[in-house]
Amino acid sequence: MAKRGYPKVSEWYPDLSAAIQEQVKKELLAGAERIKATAEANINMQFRVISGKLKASVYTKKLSESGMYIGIGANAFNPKDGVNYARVLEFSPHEHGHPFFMPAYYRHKDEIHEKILEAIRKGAKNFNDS
Amino acid sequence: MIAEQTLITALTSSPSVINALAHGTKSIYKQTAPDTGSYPYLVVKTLNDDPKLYSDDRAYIHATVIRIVIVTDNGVYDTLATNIRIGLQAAGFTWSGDTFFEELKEKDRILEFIYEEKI
Repeated sequence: MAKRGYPKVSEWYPDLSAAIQEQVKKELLAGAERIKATAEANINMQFRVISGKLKASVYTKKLSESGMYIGIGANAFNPKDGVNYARVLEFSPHEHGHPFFMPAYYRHKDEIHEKILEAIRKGAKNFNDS
Repeated sequence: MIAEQTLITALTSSPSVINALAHGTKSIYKQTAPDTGSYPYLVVKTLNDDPKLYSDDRAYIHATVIRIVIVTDNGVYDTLATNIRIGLQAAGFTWSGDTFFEELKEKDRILEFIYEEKI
């Protein structure tokens, strides 16, 4: 039986796919770093920093070998009771809740999306020119 | 702020939302939750107000991100969340996602919406 559907671009042009992925990976990582920097700036603005553990707990990491999935988060724990206080500060509706992470994400979300689209165009153009 | 006003109007004009709250419209709080309150209640918080769509050194759109926290003591918030989503989407808000959160005896569901308005 004949194979149905459209073939993947990566099957027809493996080099093109690699060229685009390289550009996208760079933009993903740069975008994640921008969110991280803004989250850290929000922490500096909203809290009186005492130990710096919350700020130090904001991280970015590759979630796949390919580098096409990047995770961003904050995981500051209180060692005494094991409470993830980064989560409490971010999501609590009470007076001690001061969202610092999601505002950073929303500030850069559209910009990162645009940059990734631009990277795809750039990757394709570089491949065409080469 | 127009987004916040639109949101409050949309919430208070939805009988399915208001009837599900402990004290009707009095169970909607802005920015922070009260120390004591009957469950369920809502907390409405503005997270961001960012400019968007630039042209000629000018931004043409306000993108306001609003967070609504449904605070309960028993975790029964699904119907209320659905009704809030229906009401707000009809009022022009874009649903951005839900998160679940527990703190002491409270079980919360957090809904986030984006509202874009022309400047």
